[in-house]
Amino acid sequence: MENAVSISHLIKRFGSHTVLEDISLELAPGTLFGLVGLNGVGKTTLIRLLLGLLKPDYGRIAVLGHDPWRHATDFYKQCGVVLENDGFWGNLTVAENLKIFANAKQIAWSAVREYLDECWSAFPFITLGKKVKHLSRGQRMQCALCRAFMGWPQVYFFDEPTIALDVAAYEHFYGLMRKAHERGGSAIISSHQLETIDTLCTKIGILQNKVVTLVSGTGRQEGSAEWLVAASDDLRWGRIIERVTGSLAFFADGAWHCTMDEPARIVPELIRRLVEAGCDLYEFRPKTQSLKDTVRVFYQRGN
Amino acid sequence: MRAVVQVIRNELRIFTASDRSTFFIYAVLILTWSFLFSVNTFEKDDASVMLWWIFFSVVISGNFSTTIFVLERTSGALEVIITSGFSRRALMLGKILFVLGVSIVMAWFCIGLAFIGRTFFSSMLSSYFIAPPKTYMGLYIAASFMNAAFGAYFSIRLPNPRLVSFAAVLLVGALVSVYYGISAIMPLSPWILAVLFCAIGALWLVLALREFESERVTRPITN
Repeated sequence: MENAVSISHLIKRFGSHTVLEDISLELAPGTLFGLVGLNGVGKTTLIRLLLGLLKPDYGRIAVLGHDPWRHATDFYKQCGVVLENDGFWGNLTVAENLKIFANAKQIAWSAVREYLDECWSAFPFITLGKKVKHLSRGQRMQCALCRAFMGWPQVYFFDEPTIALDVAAYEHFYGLMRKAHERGGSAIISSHQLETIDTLCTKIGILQNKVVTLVSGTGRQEGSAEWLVAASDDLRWGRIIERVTGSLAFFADGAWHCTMDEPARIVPELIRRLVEAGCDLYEFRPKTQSLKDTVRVFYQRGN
Repeated sequence: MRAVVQVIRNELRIFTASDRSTFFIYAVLILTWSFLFSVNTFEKDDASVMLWWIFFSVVISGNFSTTIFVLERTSGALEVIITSGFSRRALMLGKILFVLGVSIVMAWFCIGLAFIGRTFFSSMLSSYFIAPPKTYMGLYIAASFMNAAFGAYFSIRLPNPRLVSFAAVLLVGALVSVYYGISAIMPLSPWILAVLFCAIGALWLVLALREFESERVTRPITN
């Protein structure tokens, strides 16, 4: 089966400025790929290259087996897109805007109505007769998302899709993305909102110094994990923790820090030993490194 | 072909949904020009008549080109519609044909109003309505085509695409000046100017087709 996205030795320059340098990436069908990076590193450029809006200077790109730069209309019919600008005509109503895009994708209006009833009936702004210029920024973004999922395409390109969304719309987007995923859809989501990336994506890449590095997100670390034992700073507890876990324990930020390889076996034993020794244990949990921490460390190393 | 028709229909839908002020401005424009045509141009066959027609085409097609090509590019609508499945070629041709079609319709509105005015005020005017010479209509259509193709090409090539309609005025002005300069030495048929407009329009069209296939058309405009 063909990869959803295949990038090989991609280079993109604007004049003498190289934005992307020798990027290679393979995304299997059904992958939800989160792309993060600082402002101006080239995330939008990469998405625009994958959509055939920009031409690579070197290298090969294939999306669903198509070369995007060939601008095949059939290729675009399999894409759902949210870009920086929503591209709506403000003087047209939501329905008129959606009709234009449905026509371009050759989706029957009856099918669009069915999709709207099924997925967007809880959102009253999708009153089809309302002019887009009278919608708020967040509502316009929801319209853009509504347009992107129309016809359930095979691959989605989202550039900051959750910007300006309220909590309900945020969760609705998650729901739609999961639904698309169940239908075999793949996605590339570029966002500064790391929670979105961490919650949704099955694969995450950080774009920095012109290259994409794959990283793991929350709870995806392998090997020994760090744990927090919230108790007083009595050294006796530190000694017990070290003895049971076999790792070095240190007290910081109101808790003992340690690592353990087999938490299923060690945690009950450690709790029992600490309680027997008279420790007032009030919290015991794994210290999960958030994607935010991972990304921050990555940026610090890179700079 | 079907995609081109679809693009024209979309453009028509977008135009008809414009604010009332847009229609008001066009109405004033048509009224003004119809008055000019009504009182001093139809029965004459001199340079001023021709200039009025050419200038009208610059105003109408230049303005529509700005809306259709430039604003859509600067607002980001163009790249979104490209990624929705319209072919770039169909988009460009559809838009040019729409500009041309609207220009012709506006011209006929003017002629119609001029005819009514002429009939109504015939007692006050020196002569009755005479249909505009085919030469001038040909010239008008050729100029509109050139301006539309010019808008398509220069909306991409100009560093500041908002200057497209101003640049169109300069181009037409230059061509007309050359024509009149040569005419002063040896008489030239207005058809020659029409053919020149068509030839230059065809050149812009070919170049615009190439630009629409390039990445420049979807590059963000920074100024």
